[in-house]
Amino acid sequence: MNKLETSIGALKLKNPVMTASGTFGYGEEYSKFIDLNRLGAVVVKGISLNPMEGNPVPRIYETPSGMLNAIGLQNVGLKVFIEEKLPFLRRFDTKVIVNILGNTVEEYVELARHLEEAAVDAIELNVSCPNVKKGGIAFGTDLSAMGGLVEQVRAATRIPIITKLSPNAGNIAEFARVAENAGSDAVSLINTLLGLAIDPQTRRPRLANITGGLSGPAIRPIAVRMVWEVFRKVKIPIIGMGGIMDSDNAIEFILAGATAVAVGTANFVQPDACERIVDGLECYVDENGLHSIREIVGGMII
Amino acid sequence: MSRSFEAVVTENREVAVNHFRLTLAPDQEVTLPAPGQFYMLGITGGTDPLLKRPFSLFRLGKNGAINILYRVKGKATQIMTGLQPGSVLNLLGPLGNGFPNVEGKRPIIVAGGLGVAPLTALAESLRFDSPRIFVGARYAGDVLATDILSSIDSDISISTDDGSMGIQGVVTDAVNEYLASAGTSAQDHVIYGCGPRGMLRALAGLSDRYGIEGYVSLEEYMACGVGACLGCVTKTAGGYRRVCKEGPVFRIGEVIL
Repeated sequence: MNKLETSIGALKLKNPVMTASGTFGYGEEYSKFIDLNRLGAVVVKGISLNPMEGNPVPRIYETPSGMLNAIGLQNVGLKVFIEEKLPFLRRFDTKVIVNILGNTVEEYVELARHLEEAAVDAIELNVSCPNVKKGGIAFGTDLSAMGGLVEQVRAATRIPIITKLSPNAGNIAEFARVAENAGSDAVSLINTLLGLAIDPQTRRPRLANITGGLSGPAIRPIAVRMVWEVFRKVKIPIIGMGGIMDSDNAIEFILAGATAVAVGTANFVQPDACERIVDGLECYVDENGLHSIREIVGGMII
Repeated sequence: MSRSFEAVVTENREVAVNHFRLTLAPDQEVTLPAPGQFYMLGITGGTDPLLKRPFSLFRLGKNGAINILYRVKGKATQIMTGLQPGSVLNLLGPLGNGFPNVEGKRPIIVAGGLGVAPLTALAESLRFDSPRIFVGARYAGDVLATDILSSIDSDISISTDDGSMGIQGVVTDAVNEYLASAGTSAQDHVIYGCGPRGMLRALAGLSDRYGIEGYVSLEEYMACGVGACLGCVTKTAGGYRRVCKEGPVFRIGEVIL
């Protein structure tokens, strides 16, 4: 029996390790460095109906134990994704979760319908990207707007829906509860924390977008705390993320209440980070005499 | 062959004020790099600095030794100066696309400042095509690798902003003079450049004026180095392209400088 097997609603995963959207492209680049078959799921770069150009450069800047990014959701758009990117990912024995974003409820609904037809395994509603003015975050910072969006997408599709929550929007547990009540199968958290770095010499912001999303180990304690807060408020599964670099970090999230974890910035540092984390989790369950990783979800001892 | 490997530091020597040459011996058989390709170097294995840093191939040494030329600029390069022989670093590479070979054309190699790093590898590979080499820097202390380059082109042209070495002025003026004196044979050349954006823009102007094909290598902040994060894009006629994946070498005319 596979001790790492878990599930996000109806979505069965061979292990709880997935890639975080926006850090793994559409899987092609990293397939040269890791065996995608070993991943629980690949969560692809956010997809919009039409291609998006993204923000001007500089788009990234490293900060202590973290990085700021303001990519601006550059993506190939739905059509190219389905025709050119998805078939590649389908060659692997891993689940494909598609992160989607739009400016209106109708756009999300249309994306969800087409992706269900294309037989993706789940969709992740991006309502929390901090780096674009329109869309995404407009839904993620308003409880009723987000609830309405999730309801409409829920009504339009039967595939599992994951709502990705922002840490920049007030009480994250409230948003999680609204997502749950509106029919979301799971929540994923946290998206990046809004940050700013300034060059003291030029007095200009380090990023062309001025602000950017902070990720990496610097944000991990905040992310773990938020997972724990959400875990106490909702019954649906949580996908925890924020600065996971190794399997111990992943265990931390699981103990706080995450059913699965997503690895983001660590991929940039070590292209085989996800595979190492799967290895580490296998060791952990054996060393701790667990029958299943699920035994320790929310298992923090107080 | 995996493009992710470990390499042992065999030498880390200050070759000019604030500039070091790092020599790395891969621990396994690795893919041979082409001039213009680059490596992502893991500096500490810790979280600060967190990301790997991109460095282009400066020279390929004996037994596949990878030589990197770096300027001490920020935290990561400061830490790099302390690397001792025997230290083990994690590398990704070779990454990106190198400079293309253009048959039947005489290469004009134009390096600004640290742009000399990838162009030294190129000059060595084009040694038998009689490349003309032009090097520009702010002052004499920033003129690098001329010992190697002058062994390839004995007529190497050096320009400095303050005139402390070679001609006083910008390197592209020297290139312009050369092309102007070449008359109709100017079109028998191909330009390869790496350096500050201003210099690359001037090179693009020369490429246009003399109707010469040219290629430039760009620099940008990178996180992943393999095309996934979309952090290092540059504007081209066809929209944003990734410097790490479609570049770092772009054709002049395609890239918007």
